[in-house]
Amino acid sequence: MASTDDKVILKSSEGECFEVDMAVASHLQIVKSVLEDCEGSSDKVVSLFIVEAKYVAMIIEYYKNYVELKEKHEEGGFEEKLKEFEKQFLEQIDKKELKGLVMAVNYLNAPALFDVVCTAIAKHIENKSVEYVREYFGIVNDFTAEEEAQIREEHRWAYDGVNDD
Amino acid sequence: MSDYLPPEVLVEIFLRLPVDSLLRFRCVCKSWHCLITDPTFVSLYTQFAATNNHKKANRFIIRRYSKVQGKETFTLNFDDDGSLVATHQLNWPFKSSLDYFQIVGSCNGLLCLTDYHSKQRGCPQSIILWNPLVRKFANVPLKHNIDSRCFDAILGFGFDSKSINYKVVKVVYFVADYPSQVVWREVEIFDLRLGAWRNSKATVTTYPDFVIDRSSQQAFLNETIHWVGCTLPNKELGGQQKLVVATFDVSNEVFGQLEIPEETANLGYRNKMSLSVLGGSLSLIWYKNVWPEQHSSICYIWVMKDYGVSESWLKQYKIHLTCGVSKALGLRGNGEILLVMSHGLLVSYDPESNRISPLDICGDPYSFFLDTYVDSLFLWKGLHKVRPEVLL
Repeated sequence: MASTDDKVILKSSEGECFEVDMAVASHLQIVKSVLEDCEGSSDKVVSLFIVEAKYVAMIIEYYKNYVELKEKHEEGGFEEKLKEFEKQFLEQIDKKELKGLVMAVNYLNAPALFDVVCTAIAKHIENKSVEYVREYFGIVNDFTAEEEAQIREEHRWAYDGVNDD
Repeated sequence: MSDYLPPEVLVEIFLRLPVDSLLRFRCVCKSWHCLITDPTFVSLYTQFAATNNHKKANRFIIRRYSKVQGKETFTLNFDDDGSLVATHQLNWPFKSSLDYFQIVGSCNGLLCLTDYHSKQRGCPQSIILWNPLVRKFANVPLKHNIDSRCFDAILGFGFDSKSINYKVVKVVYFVADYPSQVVWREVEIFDLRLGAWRNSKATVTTYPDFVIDRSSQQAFLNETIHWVGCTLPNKELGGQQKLVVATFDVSNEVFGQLEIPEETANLGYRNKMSLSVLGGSLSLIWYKNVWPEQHSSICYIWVMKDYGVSESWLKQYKIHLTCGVSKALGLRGNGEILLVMSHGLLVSYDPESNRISPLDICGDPYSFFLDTYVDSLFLWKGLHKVRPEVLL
């Protein structure tokens, strides 16, 4: 079992502190490199300046389960169990929060979760209309009506069977 | 944090989107258009699909020909445990001079098809590279500088993930007294990025001592094309020949060979033998005729558990069905095998219970082709000197 020495404190943008096992935190490349840079220092607090507390909590939840499942299913079956967990994990996240989460994960440099969230966003938008996607990402259309019509004309079939909600 | 996602994150999301969505999202805004149409992204997308294709093993491309309608049909089907749901009917406007095209191979989202002259064997009349999802195709230029009556041309198709490139390989050899006297003539590569034929890196001295069975469907795995081949007669062994797996590594452009299960190596061409990739492993399918029942055959499937290790061939399935199996096509996620019965119906066969369930898809039995399918943006634009044409 991990001793208290193996803990690290992650501080969110609001200043909220999360005590996390090193085994979990080491999956976040940014935390790992910060700790390596100040090796020997007793101060094990890492400030995640731009990450909100709710995302820090999500990321910790993901990697806590990841580490536990990996330990429990060392002999095999880890990937399947992880998939099951990932499904549950994503169900409790609002679609709008996925964008914030992907930014946070990208900043923390955590490859496994990054893949999961990118796949979830792709799955969410793949059958959506262009209008929905603009609204979802807060993008302003900078094409003229003619330009847009021309691009649409090139692959007309790609606009069939999409939905807006 | 704002809604704004930086390009490096957007690209990661785009890599996980299907082709249809990407084509549609080009008109979201100018920066998305730039990202999606960038040749570097097209390469990245193709490579991502190649390395992640095991995750998409539940999507098949199926070709079949209906004699009644005189029509060759291509569909993309989703393996939904129970049925095979057709998600796309693909637009294929070409008409073969025979009934249907020969599919050289399907590889990382692209298909290579060829049409042979009905009378001149070994002489392709056309070679087409086709990306069904972006609805574009390219004709591979043909060279008719050889007398096709004396030569045999074998085609292969593969994807080189090192150079992110598709290659068609043409092996032409002169047959004096088939198959005992074969003089190798040339090996050429149609390099899609180059947009032209060129000599292979394989030189005459490295040509192998085998001939390739022209009727054998290729199997593509580990950057390598596999065909059923036959060694040239060994004088020391009294002219004995044996069947092998003839290979061509498309990345390094070198030939090689693998042993086939000992039990089948001395059978000769008279028995129908074919190679396939089932569940990610190289597999050998042998259709053993059972006399005197005309339409009946026993189908044996060997699977090479460790790629390249001859000792790892395992006789995994024996399929003996009274109505006769014409072709074993593929392995499904639920462990069932897709078979074409001699009357032309596609069925799902459960090797555990020996039971079959029909799938409501039928066609000329030997016209069936099935492979797992991943999305690719290749041939859409950029990257190659070949001018792809649009299919509407």
